[in-house]
Amino acid sequence: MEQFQFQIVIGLVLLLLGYFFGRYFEKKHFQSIVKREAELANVLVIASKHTTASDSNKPGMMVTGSVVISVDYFKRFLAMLRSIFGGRLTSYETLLDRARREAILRMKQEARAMNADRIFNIKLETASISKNASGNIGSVEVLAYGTALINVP
Amino acid sequence: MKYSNPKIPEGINSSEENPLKEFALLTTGAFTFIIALVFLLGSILDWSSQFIPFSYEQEIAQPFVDEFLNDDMSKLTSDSDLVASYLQKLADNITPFMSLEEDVEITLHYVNQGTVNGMATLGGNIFIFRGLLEKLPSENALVMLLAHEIAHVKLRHPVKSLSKGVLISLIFAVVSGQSNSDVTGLLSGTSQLAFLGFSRTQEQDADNEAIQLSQKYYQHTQGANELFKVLLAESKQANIETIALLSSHPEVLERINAVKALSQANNWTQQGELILVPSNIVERLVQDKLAQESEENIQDN
Repeated sequence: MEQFQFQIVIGLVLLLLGYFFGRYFEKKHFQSIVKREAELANVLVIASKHTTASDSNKPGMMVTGSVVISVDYFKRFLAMLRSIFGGRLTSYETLLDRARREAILRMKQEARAMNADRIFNIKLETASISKNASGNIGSVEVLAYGTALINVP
Repeated sequence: MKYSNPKIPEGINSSEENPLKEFALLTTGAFTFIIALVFLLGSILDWSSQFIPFSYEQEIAQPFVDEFLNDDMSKLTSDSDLVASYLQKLADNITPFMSLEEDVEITLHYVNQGTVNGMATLGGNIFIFRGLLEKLPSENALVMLLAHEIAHVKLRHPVKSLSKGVLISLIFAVVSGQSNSDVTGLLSGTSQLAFLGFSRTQEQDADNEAIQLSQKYYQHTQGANELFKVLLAESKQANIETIALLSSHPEVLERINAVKALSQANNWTQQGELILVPSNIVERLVQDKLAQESEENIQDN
């Protein structure tokens, strides 16, 4: 039964690592996201397909932003418990919120680099990457793409 | 339409709530539920296992016993029948005092390995390892050990714990078909904990029977004290300490106290004359150990 004790200790250590580092990275990331959202606030992202009349003459190109974020052990454990009892998976919700906003920000950055300040018809796609053997997700990828209208001087 | 992207307030698509609260709530819930379930099922099985006839146990056990005895590792030679028949004779002497059921047969096996262990399995088969035999200081301690193992058989502990094991495996098979292995890991870990509780109760019950036998056979319980002294010394040598909740046996000190308590409650003598293990048996054990060690040296070189 010493082995069992060992397993419990390892499990707890992993959970603690996952929790502390996970929360730390998440907080840092959210701070960075809020800061950059303020910086890129004048690059507009619009979900509609139709451009305005004045924009329709501008050259357009596709811009994309993608991000892959990994799930930590603590989040995964919490999700596993939720899978038994059901309910809102808040641990993954924050993860996806982060990923979505980051992807949009990266797309905006691409647009700004191309001297565009409007992106039309944006779409988002989420995929889970590297499911491990037991079917838990390893990391999540969000892809944001749209048509940027370039300001020709 | 005028487009804009103003700053959207936080906390709509994600939750600001501390996940630790959720974690604590869910884990205690899952833990309690699983332990309660295992306990309930375990108790039901405990009660119903007594209806399995002893002859079934013997039939099931026979192929495993044969395999074990023929296994390379046991290295049983015809000479070791000396120790086995000595153990069997001792067992046959004490079984009349233990009020066993009519159909119960006790078969003793001597295993020539250095492991310090003794165990009772299905069908009344009891295996005593040389490592433990070597350490017993007297026949009284040996009788206490045999009585403990026979008590396991009398109380049908092997069949009870195996049925519980089978039931939980069945439940795993159902659950793991539906969800991922983390869940089965949680289930297996928590149910192991619950099983350890059952195991400790069983060990203490077997102890109690054995102490009573010690008293009936020798009119004193010193054999019990001797045996537990040996186990205490062994446990002190163990590399990793196991906390009581995670151990399959009660703590040795607790077992020693149980001897004292039971003896005092019944006014039994706790000290008395000790009979030594016959010298030819002791010699045989030493020879067996030397033979095994030299063979290991030959294999290593």
